[in-house]
Amino acid sequence: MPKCCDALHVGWVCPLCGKQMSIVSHIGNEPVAVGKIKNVTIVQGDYVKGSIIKDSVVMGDVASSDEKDQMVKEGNIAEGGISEDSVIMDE
Amino acid sequence: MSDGEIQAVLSRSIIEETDTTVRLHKGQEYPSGILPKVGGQQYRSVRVGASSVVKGSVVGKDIVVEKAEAINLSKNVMAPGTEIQGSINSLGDVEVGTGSWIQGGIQALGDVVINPYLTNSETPGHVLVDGAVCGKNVRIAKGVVILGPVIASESIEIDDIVTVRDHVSAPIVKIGNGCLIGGLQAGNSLSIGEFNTIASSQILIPGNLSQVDCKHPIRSPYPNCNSCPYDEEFSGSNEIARKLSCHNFAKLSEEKVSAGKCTDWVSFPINDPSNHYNFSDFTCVSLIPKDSVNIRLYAEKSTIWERGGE
Repeated sequence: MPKCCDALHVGWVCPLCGKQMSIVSHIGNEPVAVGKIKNVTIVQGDYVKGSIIKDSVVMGDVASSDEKDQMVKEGNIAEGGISEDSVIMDE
Repeated sequence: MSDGEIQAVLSRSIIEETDTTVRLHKGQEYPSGILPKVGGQQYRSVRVGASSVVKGSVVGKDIVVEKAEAINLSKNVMAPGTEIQGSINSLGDVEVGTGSWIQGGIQALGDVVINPYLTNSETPGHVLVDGAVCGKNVRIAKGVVILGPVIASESIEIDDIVTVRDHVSAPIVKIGNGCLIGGLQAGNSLSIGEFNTIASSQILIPGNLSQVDCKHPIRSPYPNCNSCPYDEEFSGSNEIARKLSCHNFAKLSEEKVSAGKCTDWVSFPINDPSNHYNFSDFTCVSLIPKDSVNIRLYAEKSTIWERGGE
């Protein structure tokens, strides 16, 4: 039930002050760069795939023959299997 | 991102679709409705993740809108809840979780369950349906606000402190305490608690009065609230809507609903057959005298409450 003026009420307007109940609309969730991701939960068995973006256009996979650093992963690869949603924080 | 700069992102899947299921992940924004694209997809089960937003309607068989969670969005603000910016249309059952805002109503062939509105919650606790709710059996939990009618082909069960701006209509109707209802049509069975308001001058209850369980008076704002003794408290905008949810009639708390200071309100004469109109399946309980000649005079004064001040 809505709460206003430190009291619960029915209806869509607070009977004490006349203020209409309001709900903040969702602002969406935009993708962010890897550098801004502070905490990602990945469990054994997840498959993490990276892409590079240039001017917001997906150009191709990150992994290439030029890469020196190899990703260390354990467990089976399951394409598209995301076990838990990430929590993304802005700096 | 400046020109020529290259960054990497993890690939991102906000929705998973199969031939039989659709799952929108938590805290996501889906830019359109979740709709069938080919025949048969209208039977998919749909689950909208916690604190996600769907910018359109949802069509499927069994549809679940998950209760909101404390999820930070990319702009470092907490998601305000789970939001469907359209209607929910189900060929099966629908469940709506706490912290949800359905902007276009709910219709289901099966049952509809709407979870409670929580006020003392660290996660978004609101439950608002901006439209009609209809289904086979509809169950509405405590505190929910529905800005439309609630219609069921079998039964409606409404918990305490629920708001339904339009009428409630079903063969079997059960209403708790402290609710604000726009109108009432109960065909076979009616059970209703105390300190309820029905914003109408006439209600339809079962023709067989033995099927009516009404131990407490039901407030009608017509006619006594037309000349409210506390008019000064309600002066200004939204006067009618404020009087409908009048704090002088009932005091609401999480634990109980109790009487307010006003004793001037009038109740429906459910136990007075002289003010009943009998039809084959219904009894119309009216606050407009049977011998009234100038029906327009009564209609003008009574329908201001049915229109909710709009």
